[in-house]
Amino acid sequence: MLTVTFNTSIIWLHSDRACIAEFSKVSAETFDLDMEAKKTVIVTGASQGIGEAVVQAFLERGYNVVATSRSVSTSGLSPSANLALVDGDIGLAETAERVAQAAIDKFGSIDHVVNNAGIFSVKPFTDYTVEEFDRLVSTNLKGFIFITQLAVKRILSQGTGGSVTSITASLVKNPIAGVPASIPMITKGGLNAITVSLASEYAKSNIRFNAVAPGIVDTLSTKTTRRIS
Amino acid sequence: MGTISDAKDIAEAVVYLTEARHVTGEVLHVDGGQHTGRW
Repeated sequence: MLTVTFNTSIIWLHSDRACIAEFSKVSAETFDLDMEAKKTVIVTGASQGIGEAVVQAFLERGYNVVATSRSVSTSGLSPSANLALVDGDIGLAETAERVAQAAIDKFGSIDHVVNNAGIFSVKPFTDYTVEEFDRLVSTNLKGFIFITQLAVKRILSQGTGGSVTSITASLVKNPIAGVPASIPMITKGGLNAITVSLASEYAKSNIRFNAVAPGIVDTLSTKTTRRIS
Repeated sequence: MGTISDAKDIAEAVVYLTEARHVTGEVLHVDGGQHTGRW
């Protein structure tokens, strides 16, 4: 309604064909949005920090959210009509299946995925062990692959289009000598790479793939702010 | 710029990319300029 009023005023001020065309387009889009059912977004690594902030942002915007992490049910998030919580290790295919199923059972669709779950460590390259590498691959890569495969299959079957957004790291592009994270960056750089691959593969199906690359994020300050407010 | 990000800064970028119907294959840096090597 606000959009319509705003654009109407433009037409009064500049009543030429271009503006009228713009008005029609925006009105049609606004109408479509109003008519659409609520979209469902899956957020991994949701119990704290960036994941928790992403969950809150989508809830505030009226999305249905399926939030998952190893212990999301004991985090600060409470399940509601718009929020489902699923505990589990996202590096396991079994967890991804339960998360996807929860989205379909509770909200009837999967429209978007935010691959936020990730682990990170800082140490010299020669100190990384095979076990640490396996853990990084499990959470950061398998944790992307399993849930994204299920979401893509579902979005294709719905024919609705959708999106997958992954959290990677600024350190991939600009390493800092004092913050050595070579092995974790194999996984984060891999996510940047597969984001571009999948964007190409599924563009015709209207499934978009993007990544957000943060630098250093103060997740504690967010919690503090929320408690005060 | 040149400061530590808040989780909300990242969440806003995620919401943008989720809703940006014509944006795909992008890696959006939200790091106060860290990827430019300025800090």
